[in-house]
Amino acid sequence: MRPLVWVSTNFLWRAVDEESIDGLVNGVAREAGEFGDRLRHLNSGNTRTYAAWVILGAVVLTTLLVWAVR
Amino acid sequence: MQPSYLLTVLTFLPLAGTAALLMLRADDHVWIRRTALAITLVEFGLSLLLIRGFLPDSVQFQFGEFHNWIPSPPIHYHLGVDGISLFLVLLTTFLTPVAMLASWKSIEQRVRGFFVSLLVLETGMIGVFVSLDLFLFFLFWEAMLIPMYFLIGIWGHERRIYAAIKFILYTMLGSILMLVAMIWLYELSGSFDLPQIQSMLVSGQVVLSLRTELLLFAAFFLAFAIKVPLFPLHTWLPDAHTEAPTAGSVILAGVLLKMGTYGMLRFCLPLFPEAAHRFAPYIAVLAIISIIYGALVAMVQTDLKRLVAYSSVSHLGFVVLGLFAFDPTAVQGALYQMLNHGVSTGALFVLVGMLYDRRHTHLIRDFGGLATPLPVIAAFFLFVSLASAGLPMLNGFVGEFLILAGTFTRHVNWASSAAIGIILSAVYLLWAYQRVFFGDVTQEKNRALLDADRRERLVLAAFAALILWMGIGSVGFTRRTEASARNVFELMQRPQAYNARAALASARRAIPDVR
Repeated sequence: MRPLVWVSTNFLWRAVDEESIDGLVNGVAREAGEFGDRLRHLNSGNTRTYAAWVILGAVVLTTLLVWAVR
Repeated sequence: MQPSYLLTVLTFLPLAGTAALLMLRADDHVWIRRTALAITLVEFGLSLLLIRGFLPDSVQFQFGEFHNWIPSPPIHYHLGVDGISLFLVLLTTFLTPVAMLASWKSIEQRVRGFFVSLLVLETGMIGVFVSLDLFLFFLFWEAMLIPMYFLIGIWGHERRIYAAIKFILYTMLGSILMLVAMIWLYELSGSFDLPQIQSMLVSGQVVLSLRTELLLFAAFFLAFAIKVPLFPLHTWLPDAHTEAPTAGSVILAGVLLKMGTYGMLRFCLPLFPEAAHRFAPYIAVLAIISIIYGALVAMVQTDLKRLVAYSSVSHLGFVVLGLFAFDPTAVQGALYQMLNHGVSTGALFVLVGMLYDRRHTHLIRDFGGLATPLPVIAAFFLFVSLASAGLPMLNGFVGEFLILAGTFTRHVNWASSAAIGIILSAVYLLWAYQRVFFGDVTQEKNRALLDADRRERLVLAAFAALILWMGIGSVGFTRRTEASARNVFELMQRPQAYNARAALASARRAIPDVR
């Protein structure tokens, strides 16, 4: 009985349930949150940065279009 | 088939009832509770009419309603019940008023919102069980998440926000894949209507390629396996069940988990038989892991409510095993075990909630010797525990017996592995019972606890009566589910597709070079 209780508590419950499965699930959630947090910095409020992004986007789009038509 | 509006009334009466609650003053708690209870009791009474009008030998959907809703894509308002869904509807209408009574006094904040949520939830649950249009089914399936999210997130315990978000993200991950599968099925068949798609598949009018069938099966199955939940998709359950208020736990365990197994029986088996057969060995392994793993983890829980939550993983593993044994007896047992689990685990959550109302804790070590101050609660707790552990004469035995007997005829090793779970369920339930109720009163403040009052006795007596009745009067249930359980295997026949594939397979065996 006692070894079974030990294995169930420390391996099945703590290691498998909480650390492995929940760890994976919560890890994905945390990564998604951190990725969003990094993206957030793109919205700096600085108009000149936005303008730079617009120009960069226009260049990329134009290149793609030219490439596609050709 | 004579026209009937019973299912529409059953589905939307609770939703309409919320209007009555909204007309009451928000601080008039007494009348909010009474009105909500009255609505659900009327609902329960009406649902009993289903039994009276139900023809046990018919495999057709009964109390059918069919109306055009959206012309393009063709979505219909199509309702009906058969032997599979009949008692699940009744389980819902039984558990909702009982859950309300169990949470009668323990909810003091935002009382109106609480009862409105329960009523909206009831509409969603009934809708899921009676919908015969895939789109309509999906609508109710999703709609039901919202009130449950609020029930856990607003009226739950300490970690309620984490639990509520985990619950909703898990379920939506599965249901979004199911939605894609439904749209794909519509592309292939041109219909969202379940009986119509079914008959097209059976007649061979629509033939799914093996790859398509495997993918569709996997998408549906994943959504349902999360809901059941099957190991390793189960970790939302202990959090959601433990953090939810008593009524929420009762409904979650009692009804919402059954939607997973109901979905498997209604969609996965009859629509995708070839895929079901191919996946069955793997699913059975997961089911057996769920049975044993859930029981072992339940055994070592320090929190009584978490213990009951993990026991659900174990019990539902039996149901899934019964479904994928492809045996009519095992399917009957699975259906019966769905009802049993709803009643006995619902009762266990109610009892744990009663202890919480008195001591504001779920920890086993805070109890001990409670049989002295709480003899009535202790007696009912023992009765329900024994039912849950599958004692003969009580409901759990019938379901487990049918599942094991049916599974045994096909897969001896599956049945014998699963039987370990029965022993373990007695271990974790009786061990917990001993630590909570037997011995001397270990804490002084437990000595003065008050035993069950009239309302609580009424709730417990209702559960106990049903447990006993389902234990000795099981024929009244099984004779109504039998025809539909057998019919599942009729619906799994695929004349051309099967024969063509079988012919090809035997040709390959005969001439190894044939490609």
